[in-house]
Amino acid sequence: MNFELIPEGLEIMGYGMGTTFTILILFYFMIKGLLKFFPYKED
Amino acid sequence: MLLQKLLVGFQTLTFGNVVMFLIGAFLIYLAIKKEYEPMLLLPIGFGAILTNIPVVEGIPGIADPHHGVLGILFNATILTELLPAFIFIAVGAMIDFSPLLRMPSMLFFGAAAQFGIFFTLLAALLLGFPLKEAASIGIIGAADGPTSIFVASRFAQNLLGPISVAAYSYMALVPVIQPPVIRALTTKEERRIRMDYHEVKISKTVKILFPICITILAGIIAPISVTLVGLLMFGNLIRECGVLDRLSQTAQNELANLVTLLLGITIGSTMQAHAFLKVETMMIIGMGLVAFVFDTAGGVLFAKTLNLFVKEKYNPMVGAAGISAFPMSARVIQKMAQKEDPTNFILMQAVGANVAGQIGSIIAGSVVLALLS
Repeated sequence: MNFELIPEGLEIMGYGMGTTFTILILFYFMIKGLLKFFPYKED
Repeated sequence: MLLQKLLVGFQTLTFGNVVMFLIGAFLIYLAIKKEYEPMLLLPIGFGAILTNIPVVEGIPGIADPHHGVLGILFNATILTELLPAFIFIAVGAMIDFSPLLRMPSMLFFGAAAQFGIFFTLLAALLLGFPLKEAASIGIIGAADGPTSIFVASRFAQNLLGPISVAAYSYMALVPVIQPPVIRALTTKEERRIRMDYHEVKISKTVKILFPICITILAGIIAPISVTLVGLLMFGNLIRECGVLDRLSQTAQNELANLVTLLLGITIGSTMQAHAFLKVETMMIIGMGLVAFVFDTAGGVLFAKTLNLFVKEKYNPMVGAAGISAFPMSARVIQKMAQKEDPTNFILMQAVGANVAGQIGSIIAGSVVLALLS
């Protein structure tokens, strides 16, 4: 077992999950905005 | 003397080569008999056999980096990341993002179910792998073959073979891996939760703007994601624009088939006995399973946490569909839901989460690349 890199690994985990969530939350609001501004209209 | 020349192949054959023939044959068996990701496992299996045929002095092996066909292909297409990148165009052209556009909140599950990537990265570090190799092993948890290959081709080319085999094998094993994890983390009542589904129609403008806006947004926040997200969304734009049907069909069929054909056999050619038959390979295969288990757990537990705060409850099983294995995971969730309550129908929600998982896995892969590059 190698515990030396664990603090760095935990940091990557924190940043990684945090950034992934942040980007997908931004995508969420982007989709909400697109749906609001360009709603479906019957031809 | 002549007979000796003819038998020189036998003289240079090693025990490792024979073991690799068996491993290659086993992958081909899984592909044909069990239909486990046959498009990839069969070429990988055959590539493994090809690359372990003994090399005779004066005749370059097929995986020779300068004179062998597969070696040249590896240098030209994997080391340069060309083939893994091309496959994203094909995947983008195949994906219909409508279920996600109807239920954008499914994106949260697409993020939560990437937990296995980072947990496995930690586990790999604990087992003594260097940081970049650990990250490449963790990306097996993206449950997305092309992303795994893309990250491994940049960070751990020596591990490309076992990582690809683990990624594609476990994707095929999602129906076996996910149900016990979900059952262990949920109650019968939770698995019976019904979710309303509103059939919202999506305008063509939204479908066209979606890939463009995603590319710009992801590109600005994480510029390194441009190759992965940009090409995926380019493929999707071709699909949704409505005026490039020929290109869309080509991306979905000819491009996908050609890239898959070359990708599999080229990756298989990296599985030389001396590089593959190591304890590390077994560790990687084991950690791939850990990644899929913790992806599933991450999605389910996040859905359960969300349920503490929202009025309209989520069926926690939908969280598990946030992994990228599309559409297998969504089907597994629907099957489990109907087993608990034959009148419960959560397939569309699960498909939405599953599509979100495809975006989530690519974003997580890009984030790992950005953090370690």
